Amino acid sequence: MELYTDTYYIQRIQAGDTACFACLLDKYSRPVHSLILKVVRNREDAEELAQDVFMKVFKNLSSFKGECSFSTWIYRIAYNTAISETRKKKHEFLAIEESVINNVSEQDVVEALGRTDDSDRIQMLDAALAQLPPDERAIILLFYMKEKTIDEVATITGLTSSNIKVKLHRIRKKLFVVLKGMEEQ
Amino acid sequence: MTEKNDILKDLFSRMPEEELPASFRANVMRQIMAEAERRRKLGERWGWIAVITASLLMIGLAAASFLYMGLPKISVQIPDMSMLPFYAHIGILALILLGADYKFRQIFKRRQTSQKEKM
Repeated sequence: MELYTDTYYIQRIQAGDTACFACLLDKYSRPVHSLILKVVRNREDAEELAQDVFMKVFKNLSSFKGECSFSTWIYRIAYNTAISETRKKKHEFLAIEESVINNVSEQDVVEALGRTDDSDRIQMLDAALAQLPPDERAIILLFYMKEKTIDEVATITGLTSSNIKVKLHRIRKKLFVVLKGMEEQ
Repeated sequence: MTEKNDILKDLFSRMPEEELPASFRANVMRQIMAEAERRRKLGERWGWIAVITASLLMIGLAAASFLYMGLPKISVQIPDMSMLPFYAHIGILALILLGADYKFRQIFKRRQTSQKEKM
């Protein structure tokens, strides 16, 4: 059970009690760092970017009006910071043909993954995630790992809810194709 | 995308969160404190600028109103200086007595502390 709400800490920080920021840091540093690390896939960069995110949060705390939850607001900063960083570096990502994406079903993947053990499945998922473009990786992570709703993911990414639904459907299919391919090898 | 039997949901829920470096919290808090200090100093500087600007504005307004409304005639009367040597004599005497009092008190305190140390 939380002792105080995020709003309480924000009000204290805005009143000049800077040390209260440590409470927000304790609550959000790990999930934010984890999301950034999975998007940029580099430990040093992720640590630096996570520090940047918290500096931005502190500097722009007065602009947080409570229109969305504090966690959604902080993830939006983290998403934008991580995506901007990945745009600076050119990467090549897997291109899958439309016909292949449409032909794979979740059932095939469930059957294929059923033959592997738990830790191998997690490793395979991590490897499959690495093959996705950073923005798609961030969307699927926000939805599944951070358990954000479609509307919240839309707020974080700045896309519409219907766009997120379509994107999530396609990213899932892409992951299924990659996972199935890994299983068959 | 069904909530039930979603294999990805199940896999992602079991995906471990990465550990943060031990120095992360201290590094961020140090930067935050430095930023807060920088903001405080900036606020203080703006405060001083506001005070100085307001003072200069008031002085300027006063000077302008004196110029446009006409300066009142100020006359300074020089007091009678015939009694000056007498007042100067009294003043010097008071200073000498004060100095002597200060010295005597010092000697008295020193003697008291040396007596206590002997006891």
